[in-house]
Amino acid sequence: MKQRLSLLVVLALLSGRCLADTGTVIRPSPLQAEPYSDAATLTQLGRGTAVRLLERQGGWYQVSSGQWRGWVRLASVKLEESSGAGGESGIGESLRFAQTGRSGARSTQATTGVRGLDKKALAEATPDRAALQQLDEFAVSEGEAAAQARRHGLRPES
Amino acid sequence: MRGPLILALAGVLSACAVMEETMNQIGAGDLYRQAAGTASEARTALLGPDEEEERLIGEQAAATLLGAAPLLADRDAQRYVNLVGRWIAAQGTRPELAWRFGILDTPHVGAFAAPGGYVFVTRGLLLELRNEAELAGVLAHEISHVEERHHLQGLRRQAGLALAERLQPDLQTMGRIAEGTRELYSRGLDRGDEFGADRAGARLARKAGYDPYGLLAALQTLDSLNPDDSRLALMFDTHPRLADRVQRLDQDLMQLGDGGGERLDNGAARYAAQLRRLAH
Repeated sequence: MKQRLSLLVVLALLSGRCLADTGTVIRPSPLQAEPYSDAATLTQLGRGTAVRLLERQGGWYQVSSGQWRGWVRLASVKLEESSGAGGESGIGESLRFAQTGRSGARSTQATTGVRGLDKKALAEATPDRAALQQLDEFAVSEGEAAAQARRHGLRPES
Repeated sequence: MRGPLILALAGVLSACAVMEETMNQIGAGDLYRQAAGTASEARTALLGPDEEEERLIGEQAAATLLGAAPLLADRDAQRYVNLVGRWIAAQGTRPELAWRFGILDTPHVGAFAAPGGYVFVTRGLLLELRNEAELAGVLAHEISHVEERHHLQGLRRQAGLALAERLQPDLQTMGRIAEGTRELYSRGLDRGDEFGADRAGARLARKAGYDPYGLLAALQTLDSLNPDDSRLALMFDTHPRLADRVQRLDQDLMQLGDGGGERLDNGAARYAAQLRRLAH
């Protein structure tokens, strides 16, 4: 039971990914009652308005700002830098969050001994045919991929 | 009558032998033989000379990228990315290619495509993404580069091949392709090709049943990272500004209509379940 509960907490943290995100409005944008372009406008958000991101649906974020709560286009918002306090992104950060209970600043340095993929590494690269062969071992057939997509309820658009 | 035919056959066979020897020298012979055994490659073998040339160039480019960063030693994670990627590629314009997806074991943030159906994403990128819909968007962007032969054209030029000239897979040419790969992937594609792959990729992901805004959300997340982070340097040097990509893609996706009402499953739980190990 206890295990189940902690699993639920982790899942909630992972699926409610936007809950801790904040952002800034980068152009004057209407805050709308629904995630549709023809929905009613609640108020105008000015450039620089700080918003809290609650949810994403397609091209829209549900945000709160002061007493307002509504929907703005994704591209109207710049997300807060995730290395700063409060901001977060990705499963790497959410897992650190889940484990430590706080959103830690991310190191900008590559861990010693781990290879970076930068211009220098590219300039020195020689073909690794053994790795290419290894890659073949991970390949899946179209049928296997389709079976998983079906299990996950993905429907190709006809 | 029979003499010339036999001579011609002998000529073809010896040409094959030379080619075989060259392939062995570059270490591709084993790969080639092994590949011929699987069903998808049987289809590739039936493809025309253009596709055969693309396959040879793609193998050398992919091998060179793998020389810059190793594959992540996590079979389950690698299979997961292949399952997602292959499903998307199957909805595209070139489902018959021998699609291969790989996770590169590096903290740097990036994704790469190579001709013939190769797509790589880095561990550093996967850790920044939130869910499967974002991964699908990134993979679809790379798949679009392959479909449009963006790198192929650049690599053919780098190898010194004229437009209609056929590739001779000798050591020297393969060396030039490796050199071309180092050059092209450091410099990046035309910026227009990148915007084009954003547009086509978002639409392809949608065709496969994913939220078309997954790619936009991923780009937006990357745009929120500290721009001085050295893990982002290669991506910044080889792509248009993330903020510009976000704005352009948003403008483009608006044409698809609202699509905001439906709540598509973005696969956050299964993405985390498959890839959470990468954080350690």
